[in-house]
Amino acid sequence: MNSSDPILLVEDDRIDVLNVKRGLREIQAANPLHVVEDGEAALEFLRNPQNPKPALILLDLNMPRMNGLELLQVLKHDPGLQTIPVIILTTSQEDKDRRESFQLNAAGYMVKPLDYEDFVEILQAIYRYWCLSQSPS
Amino acid sequence: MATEICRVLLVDDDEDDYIVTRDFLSEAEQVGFKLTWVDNYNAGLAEISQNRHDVYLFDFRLGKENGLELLQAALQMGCQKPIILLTGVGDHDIDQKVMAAGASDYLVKGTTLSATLLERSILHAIERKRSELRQNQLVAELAIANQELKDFAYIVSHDLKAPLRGIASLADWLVRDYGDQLDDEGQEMLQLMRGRVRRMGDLIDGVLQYSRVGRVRDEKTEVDLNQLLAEVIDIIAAPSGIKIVIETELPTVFVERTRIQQVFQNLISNAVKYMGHPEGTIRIGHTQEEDFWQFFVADTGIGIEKRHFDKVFQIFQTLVPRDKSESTGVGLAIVKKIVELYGGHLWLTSQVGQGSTFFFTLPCHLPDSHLAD
Repeated sequence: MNSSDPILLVEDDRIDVLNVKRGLREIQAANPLHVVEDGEAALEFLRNPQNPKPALILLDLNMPRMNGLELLQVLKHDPGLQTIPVIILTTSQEDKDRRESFQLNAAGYMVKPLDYEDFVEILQAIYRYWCLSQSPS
Repeated sequence: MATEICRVLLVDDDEDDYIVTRDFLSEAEQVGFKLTWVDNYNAGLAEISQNRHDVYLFDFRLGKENGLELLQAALQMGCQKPIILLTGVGDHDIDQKVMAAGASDYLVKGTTLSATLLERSILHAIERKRSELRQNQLVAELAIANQELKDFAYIVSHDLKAPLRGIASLADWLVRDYGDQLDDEGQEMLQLMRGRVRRMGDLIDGVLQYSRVGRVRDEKTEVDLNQLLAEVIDIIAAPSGIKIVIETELPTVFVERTRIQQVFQNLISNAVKYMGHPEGTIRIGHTQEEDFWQFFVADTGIGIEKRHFDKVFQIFQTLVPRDKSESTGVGLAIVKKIVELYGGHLWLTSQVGQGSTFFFTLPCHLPDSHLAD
């Protein structure tokens, strides 16, 4: 991923969206950020050829209509989308959610911290890693 | 009672037996019986499927089938009425078999059977069955309520975290973006707000941890406590002035590893936390009693007043002012819950200024932890 590659954020909580936006600005990640509110909207975005293909998906688990695990399930079986790395960003510390996420090819699992500063740190670590990692084109 | 009609189905291939039964029932004093008679297995099963009777009497011999088979077929169909087996000869083996299969009673026909005995057997069987069904229903309702309670604590605390995180973020951004426009008092208010948010976050985590003990069930394994304690002590990383001594060769127990780890981790980290001075000793050991182990974790810390002994085991109870402590008061509540889940006890002795000793027992043969179901 380089700094011009788009990132897709799937998140229904407005403050959490602000969190990611602010955080990315703070770590000086200039990547275009696209935001959708739930799994169904994410699929619409990803399957519309007019939209750019994101280099990274940040995914909340608990969302209306189609939740994060349901979206992972669809992505895993879609040859056009299955190679996009998906990082789970959630409040859930349940082992069950972690297990299911990785069974469905999640590339990472981060628990949203209470503190904004802690969150920025996490975001920075994720961002650095994915800037180094080479994804298939 | 005389107005009550009790509907009885007799499945018996011998007409003479039907006549005897009919005569006995006609002598009944407490209730009126209405007897229906069929003489074979299939007709009996067909009647049972209609669920029109209050009690069933099966003869043990039914041509090529027998009463035990009919009993099993009836139960399989979901029959919830009492079934009494009748037989020509008393046989201890059959008696045990039919009772184990779910019969309400087993009566030997012939001279020992009387009108009074038959009536009594029927009425008792009906009453027992009723109370059995009522009890099953209560247990089922209790299981549902219990599950709902567990889910409730989990869902509520989980859902509370999202808005709390929102508040935390907004407070943070206010300080960052508008901090210079606030005077000292305004700054302090925002700091206090962030502190309270953090505490509420800790409390919610506490509820989640506490509810997880009963909700999540791990595999039981053989856990060598000597090895486990070494790991726990490593994790706690007590300050160098605090000495931790294991005084006995600890047993290997068959438990869920994470649970027993939580027990020792909480007890030992409490001992560290409440040492009160930079130097001290924590002693850990056990004694083997007849059918349980008794463990202790003793410290040379600040101690606990006797009147607070019960309080320390209650969730969210701490003995220091909340603003001065990072403790949420969940640790010992979790220890108590785990120990009691295993059928053990937890208690303490203490002298203020001298130290505290926490004791707990674990039965050598642990019961299945049904609370997690």
